[in-house]
Amino acid sequence: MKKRFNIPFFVITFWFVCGILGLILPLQPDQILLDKILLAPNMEQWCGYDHLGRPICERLIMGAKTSFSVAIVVVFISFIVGTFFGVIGAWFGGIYDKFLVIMIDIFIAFPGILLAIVLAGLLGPGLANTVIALSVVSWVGFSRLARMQTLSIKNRDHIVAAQALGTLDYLIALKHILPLIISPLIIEATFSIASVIIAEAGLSFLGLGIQPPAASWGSMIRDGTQYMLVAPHMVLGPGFAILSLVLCINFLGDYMRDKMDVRNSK
Amino acid sequence: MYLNYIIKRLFGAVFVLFSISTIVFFLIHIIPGDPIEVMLGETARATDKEVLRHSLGLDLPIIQQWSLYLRGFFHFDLGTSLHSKQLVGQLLLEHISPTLILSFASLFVAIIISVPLGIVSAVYKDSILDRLSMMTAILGVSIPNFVMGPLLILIFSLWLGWFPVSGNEGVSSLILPALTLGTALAAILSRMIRSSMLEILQEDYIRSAHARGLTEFNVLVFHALRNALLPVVTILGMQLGTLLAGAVITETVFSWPGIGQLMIESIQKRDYPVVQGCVILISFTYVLVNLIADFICVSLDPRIRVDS
Repeated sequence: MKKRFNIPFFVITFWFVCGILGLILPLQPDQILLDKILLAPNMEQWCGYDHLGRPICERLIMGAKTSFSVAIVVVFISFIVGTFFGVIGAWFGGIYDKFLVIMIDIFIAFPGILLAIVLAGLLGPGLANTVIALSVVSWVGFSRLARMQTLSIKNRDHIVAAQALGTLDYLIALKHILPLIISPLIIEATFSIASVIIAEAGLSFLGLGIQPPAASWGSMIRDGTQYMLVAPHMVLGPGFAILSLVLCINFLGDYMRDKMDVRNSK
Repeated sequence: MYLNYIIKRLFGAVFVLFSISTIVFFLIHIIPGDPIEVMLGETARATDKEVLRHSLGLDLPIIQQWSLYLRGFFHFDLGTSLHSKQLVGQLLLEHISPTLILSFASLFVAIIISVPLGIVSAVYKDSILDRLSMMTAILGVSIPNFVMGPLLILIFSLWLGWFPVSGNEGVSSLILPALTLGTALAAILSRMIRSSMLEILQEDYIRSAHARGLTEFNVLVFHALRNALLPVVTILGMQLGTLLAGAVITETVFSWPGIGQLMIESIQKRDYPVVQGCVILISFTYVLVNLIADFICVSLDPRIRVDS
C-alpha cells in the first residue's frame, strides 16, 4: 500500500514543481527557432521542437502551469460555492432546499463537459472564460455531496445541543457541520482536479480553451495531430504528460478514499 | 405504485427537458458575441447588418424570440441554420446516424472488454490478474479521448497502416473511433462489474448452484453475471452522457461527421439555432436513456424499493 502511494505522489509533485518553475524560470516557450522546426528529440532538447520551432520541453512546463492554475482555481471556486449552497440547502431546508435540488437535478440531467464546451465556445476562448465555463459545471458535485452529508448529520446530538445553546447558524455550519463533512469533500476535490485538468485540455484541444500562443497540453496535442507522421513527438510529449498526471491523481484519490475510509454512498 | 412512479418520472423528465432548453436558449442569447458580425465580418455596413438582423428575427426582444422558439419547438421546428439555411431538424437527422453508429460500436467494444475483465478480476480477487486488470481500468479512466485517439492513429494508421486515419468509409474507419470511445467506458464498466460480482458471489444461491454440481461457467454467467448486471444497467445509463460528450471530442479527432462535429463547427460559426438543436438533441437522448435504464431496473428487480 505504501509503495502504491509513493510513485503517484512523486509524479504529481514533479508536475506541480514544473508548474511552479513555469512561474519563476525565465523560460521562452514562444521563442521560434526556424532552423529547428519539427526537430526530433535529441540529447540537448529531450522533447524536441514543434511545428514553429518552439522547444516542446519548455512548452510542457508552461502547460503544467496552465493545467494546475486552471484546475486549482476551478476546484477552489466550486468547492466553496458548492459546499456553501449544499450546506445552506440542507440546513435551512424548505424553499432553499427545493430550489437547490431542482438546480442540481437539472445540472446532473445534462452531461457536464458538454455544457462546458458550449459555454466556453460561446464565451470565446481564453483563460478566464475557461475557468468560468468549468466552474459553472463543477460546483454541482460538491453541492450534492455537501447537501447529502449535512442532511445525514444534521440531527446529531452535538448539533442539536449547539442549537439549544443558541449558537448562531453560521457558527454551527463552520464549527460543527463542516469538520464532519470535509473529508468526503476533499476526496471529491481530488478527483475533481483530475477531471478539470482533462476538461481544460479537452477544451483547448477543441480550440475553445486556452488561446495561443499560451501553452496548454490540450492545444499542443491539437497542433501535434497535424504533424503526426513526421513528428510524433509533438503528440507523445503532451499526451504522456497529461496521462501520467491524471493517472497519478486518480491513484491518489483512490488511496485517500481507502485511507479516510469513507463509505461510497451509492 | 409502479404506474405512479412511471408517471412521476415522466413528468420529471419533461420538466428537466423544458428547463434545459430554456437555459440553453437564454445562455446562448445572453452571452456576448454577435452572429451577424461573424456572418458579415466586422467591416460590414451598419444598414446591411440591420437588414440581416431583421430578416433573421434577431432584433426582436429576447422574450419574444423565446416564445417563438418554444412555439416552433412544439411543432418540431427547431429553426433554420444561420449559415447553410438548412432546417436544423434536417441537419440533425443527417448527422445523427454516424453518432449513433459510433455510440453503439463503442458500447459493443466496452462490453466485450469489460465483462470478461470484470468477471475474471472478481473470481480471482486480489490475484495478480485482478490487480493487473484493475490497473488497466484506472489507466483507461485516466487516458482522455484526445490522447487515446491520436495514439491509436499513430500506431495503427500511420505506423502499421491497418486503418484509415479519419473519415467515414465503411467498417474499417469505425474501428479506431469506437476503440477510443469504448475503452474509457470499458474501464468504468469493468470496475462496476467487478464490485457487483464480488457482492453476488457471496450469495447463498451461488453456493447452492455450486452444490448442484453446475459447471463453473454456468454458475458465473447464468447465476452471477445475470444478477450482477443490474446495477451496471443504471451506471450504463448515466455513463451515456460521458459517452456522448466523449463522442464530441472523438468525432473531432477522427473527422467523424456526427452530431459532435456539427456542434463544434456551429459553435465556431456562432450558428445559434444549430448549437441549440445539438444541445437539445443530446440532452433529450441522455434524459431518455436514463429514464429507460431506470424503468428497466425497476422492472427487472422487484426488490428495488420505489420511494414515493
